[in-house]
Amino acid sequence: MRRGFTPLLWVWLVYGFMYLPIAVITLFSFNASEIIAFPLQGFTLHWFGQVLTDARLGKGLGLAFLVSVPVAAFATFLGALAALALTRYPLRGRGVLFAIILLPFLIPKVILAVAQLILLSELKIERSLATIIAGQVIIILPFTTLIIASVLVRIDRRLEEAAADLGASGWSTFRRVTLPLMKNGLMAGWFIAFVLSSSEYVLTSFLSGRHQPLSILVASDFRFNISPALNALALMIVAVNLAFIAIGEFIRLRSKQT
Amino acid sequence: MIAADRAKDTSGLGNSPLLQGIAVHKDYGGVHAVRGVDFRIAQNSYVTLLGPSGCGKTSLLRMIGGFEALSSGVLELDGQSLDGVPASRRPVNTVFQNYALFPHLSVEENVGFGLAYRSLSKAEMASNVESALALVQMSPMAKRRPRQLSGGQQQRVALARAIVNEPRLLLLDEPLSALDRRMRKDMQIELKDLQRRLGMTFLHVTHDQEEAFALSDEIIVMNNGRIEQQASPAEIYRRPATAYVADFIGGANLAPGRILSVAGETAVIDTPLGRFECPSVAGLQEGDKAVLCIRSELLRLQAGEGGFEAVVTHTVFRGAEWLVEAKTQGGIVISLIVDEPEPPLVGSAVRLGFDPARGWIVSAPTEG
Amino acid sequence: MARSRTGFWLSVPVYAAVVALCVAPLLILLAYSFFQVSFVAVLKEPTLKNYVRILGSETYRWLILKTFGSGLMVAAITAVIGYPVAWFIAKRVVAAKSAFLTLLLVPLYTGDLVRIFAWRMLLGAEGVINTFLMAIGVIREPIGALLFSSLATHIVLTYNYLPFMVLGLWLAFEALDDRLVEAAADLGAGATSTFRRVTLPLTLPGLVAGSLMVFVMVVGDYLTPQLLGGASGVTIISAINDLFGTAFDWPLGSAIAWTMLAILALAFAGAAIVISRSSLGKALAAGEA
Repeated sequence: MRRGFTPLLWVWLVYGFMYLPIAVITLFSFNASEIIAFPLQGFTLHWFGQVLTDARLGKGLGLAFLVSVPVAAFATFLGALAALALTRYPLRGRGVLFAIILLPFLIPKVILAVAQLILLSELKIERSLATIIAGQVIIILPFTTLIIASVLVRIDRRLEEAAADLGASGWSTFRRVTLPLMKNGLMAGWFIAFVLSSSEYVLTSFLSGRHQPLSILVASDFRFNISPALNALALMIVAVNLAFIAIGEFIRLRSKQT
Repeated sequence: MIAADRAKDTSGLGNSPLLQGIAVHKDYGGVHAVRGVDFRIAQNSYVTLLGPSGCGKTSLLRMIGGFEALSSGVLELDGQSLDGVPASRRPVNTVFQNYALFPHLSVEENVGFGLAYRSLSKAEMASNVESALALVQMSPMAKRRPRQLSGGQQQRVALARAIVNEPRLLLLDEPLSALDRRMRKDMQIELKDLQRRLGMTFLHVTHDQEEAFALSDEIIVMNNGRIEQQASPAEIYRRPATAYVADFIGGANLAPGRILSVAGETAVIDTPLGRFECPSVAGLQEGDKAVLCIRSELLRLQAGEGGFEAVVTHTVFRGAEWLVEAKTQGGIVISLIVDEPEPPLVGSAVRLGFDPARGWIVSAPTEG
Repeated sequence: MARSRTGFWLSVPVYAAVVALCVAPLLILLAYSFFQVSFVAVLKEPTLKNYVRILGSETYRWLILKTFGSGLMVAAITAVIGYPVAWFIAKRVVAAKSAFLTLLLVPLYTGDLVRIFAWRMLLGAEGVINTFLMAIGVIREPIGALLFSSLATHIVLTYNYLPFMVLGLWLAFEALDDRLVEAAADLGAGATSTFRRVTLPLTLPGLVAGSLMVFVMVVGDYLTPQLLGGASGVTIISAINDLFGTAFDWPLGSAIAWTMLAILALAFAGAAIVISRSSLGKALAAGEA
């Protein structure tokens, strides 16, 4: 197959391409100029200051937490149930369950969003934070299921037999053996769910009604209110997301050692 | 407290058996793993289930442990049926093949796992764990995690974890197969020792015939879902019940033939190698198809009359002796041990003989 | 043993959630596609008028074709770019595989809008690329077509979904036995020949899975074309968006949505057939992979 130096170069180029936008954001978030263009004018933390003192953004962030924490919790819980059903217990129609979990991922978000909108209107349910939460949980579910399932699959089935052999009932086995060993998967799933939820825009814009979580604010600023402060905001969002993902990955990788 | 140094009661066979299986049958959707077997395990004995992969020994073990349900038949422990009793409630513990130690718990937490389901005080649990670890010489490792232990050490912890619960029956599923040769030999001695001291009943699954001979009070030889023979190692070696057992146990030359006459403990068999009167299994009748078994070490090169002829095909150097393979005119492959500095030449004709009183006749295997 | 019932009960809440939040809405969407709108009310009498209108309208047909065309093109581009990367991670990286994959996914976690915003800055007439090229003297005037054009849309679409293609291909490469490639070389096959006759057929399931993911996501992405594509940025999805927004006609929007779903379902069915016929698919079905 392909040998030598060229594939490495290609890989570098591709990764460079992937990180180009992030590099640009980082660069200009520190740039002391109103215009987002070369040449660079000097280093400043002014934009960060502006973002941190913007009350509107603070409120948006608060709402984002109000939405994303429950979303992460529900998505992790349901994902755990799904992952357990898929990997640990004999189940007929396993393929069907797998397909059902995958379904929300395969439907274009806008189509799902409008469909949910119609359902809400038919049932005369008002749009609210609850509707955002419900909508987001279902599209994040495939991700959490996959992450938790990948941790569960690594747990030796004989461990559960050993626990039963030593006298543990079904629930006791789960509590003392399975749960501790899947803990890392749960945490990793939680973090990913949180990140995906806080940056989710499409579904949120359809189902949020009058509330404006952070992702919606960013969108409206982007359309009507462009300024380098947006760079600072973007960078902070990226940094926090990255931190969360890093923590989640770290936890998940640690589980490989046990 | 663990009752160490209990006197070994070898009269178990006279009393009621600890474990009894009646017409135990298991099939997995058309594949018959265990075909209606009957067996008894005596108290305080070390029994091995011996056979090649796929013979059903692991399925049988798992049914006794409670991890698989019987398709039909009964298992009785201390006279009580095990039907419907889940694994967690059987007074039976298992040492798994890959040890199945809980990776998220320390060694002592692993060992103490099952004690949480008995009404013991914390102090009692701790002291039981301590004794169990001391028995397997793993006390210094108490606080370590399984991944920090070698294979042999993990195996001992698995053992301690099982015996600390004082089960009526200890099941061992090929516990030594992952260890290297030297360690395996050492562990065999330790296992035998442990069983004697604890006075517990061990049921040990293995495919290694040497291991079975070294450890067992009784061996149950299985093949293709059926029990071929259950007897002491000596009995199995000298008087195998079937041609399969004779062959599996090792080093038997098998010559097919027909029974000419039967007289008490011996029979006369007519084979391509000649006519011989040898000890035989019970139940043979005149005219039956049968098989003559001659152990390799019993054949001798002889000059002059008697015995039978064969042509040497291979010679294999084995350090202390030579293994010589030869073929008779009738196409029967013979192997014998030659304790000389030089073996007969390949291609040369030799005359082989043996003491018929040490031969053995079994019935021919029935087809299907 | 009671375990078989545990599995069932565990799956019930999940089924319930998906049915309530995904299946039910889609079914109502289907129902609505047969209705009609009259000023601000919805007439709930079933009719095929919407579908007839869609199939008869040149504009809609064109939009549908354009959207699917974009999907296919981006899938193809990401496949070409992604193949060497996936091969590299699977075959050349030993210890840090997880790191490489995670790093590839990181740009995704920045969020749709941040990504689009960053590309706006990169591609604009006064954006990074143009000012940089002018600064080093390669061009004298900014390249207008870098932003608000079909080119911009497709660059960013490729960017958005490349990681998914690489992921799908990587899985296939991990399952590819190196010795098969060595055997081909041993028998005389050169690099291109080996790729064509051994690697490609064996990694086909990964290619199909990756293409499917990319295809679905490109079709569903209306933000990127809308915010970066300028005049060319109208997609069938944005048409749906409008019909549910300012140009109030829910039934028509529903009909368009279901037309899209129907075509996607056909694509999935096709992919499923290809995968199930392949050896990896058979192994997965038998529970081995």
